Amino acid sequence: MNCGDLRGRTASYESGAEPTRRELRHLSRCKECAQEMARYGLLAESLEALRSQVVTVPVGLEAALMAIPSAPRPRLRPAVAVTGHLRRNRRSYASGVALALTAGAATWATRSRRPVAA
Amino acid sequence: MRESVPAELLERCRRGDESAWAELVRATHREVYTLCLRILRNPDDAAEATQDAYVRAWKGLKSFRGEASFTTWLYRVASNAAISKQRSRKRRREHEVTSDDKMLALLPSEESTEGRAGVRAELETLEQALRALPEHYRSAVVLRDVYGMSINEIAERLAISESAAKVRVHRGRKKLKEMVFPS
Repeated sequence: MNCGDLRGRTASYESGAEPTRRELRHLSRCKECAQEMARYGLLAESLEALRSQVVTVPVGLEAALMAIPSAPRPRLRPAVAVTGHLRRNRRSYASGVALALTAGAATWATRSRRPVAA
Repeated sequence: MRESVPAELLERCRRGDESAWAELVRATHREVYTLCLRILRNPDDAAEATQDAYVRAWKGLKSFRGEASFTTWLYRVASNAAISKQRSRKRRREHEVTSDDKMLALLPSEESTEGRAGVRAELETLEQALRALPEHYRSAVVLRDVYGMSINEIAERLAISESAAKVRVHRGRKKLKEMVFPS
């Protein structure tokens, strides 16, 4: 077994899987592969540890979830929903406003150039 | 999340007991929201996916027969909701980039971290590296290595073949390793 063979497999580890005898033999001789293997092992451990880590939940979410039996399609606080929608579609809204302003300016310019009837 | 939700609590939920449902939500929603956020990266999307997951859970409770643990079942429901949201919002990729600062503020709180010195720093680095992974790798690695789903389940959820799921997990881990341990 060479480094290429082993490295191709190190990222396919499964939690708790032991290296084969051939892999162990190579690892005992190759410091770099052993280090690589150790890194993947540490990565696996840390990823598993992430499961117990939780983030801060947005205000109002817990209440919205609790209200599901009485209103099966509750929405998060309206303000959160609206700001979320606006943020997601800000480009479209900005283009719309820009278009309206351009059209308004063009109309105003056309009208102001029109000669006043005597 | 509690490893096992009492059967009696689930039974009360099935019967439509709203106080039992509130207890269930209180015990599980942080983990479900965190799973959705890890897949979606966007807090608004994660909140919506969490709501979708609980609506599905509420409706599906009657059909939950207890073959798997309730938390495993709930994680499956939540990952389905998050992946559906990911598909429906695929066109908003650029939004993810602008959400990074917001996401940074949501990293694990003191109370949720392990006491061992140094662990928090490592896990934060890992969370950041996960966020930086391309979407298709991130979902696969999160589902496999954080939530322990099988390759078969991941393939089903992501609507890809098992070999494609394996490749995504493999490549995702490789990229992650390069980010966490730059040589």
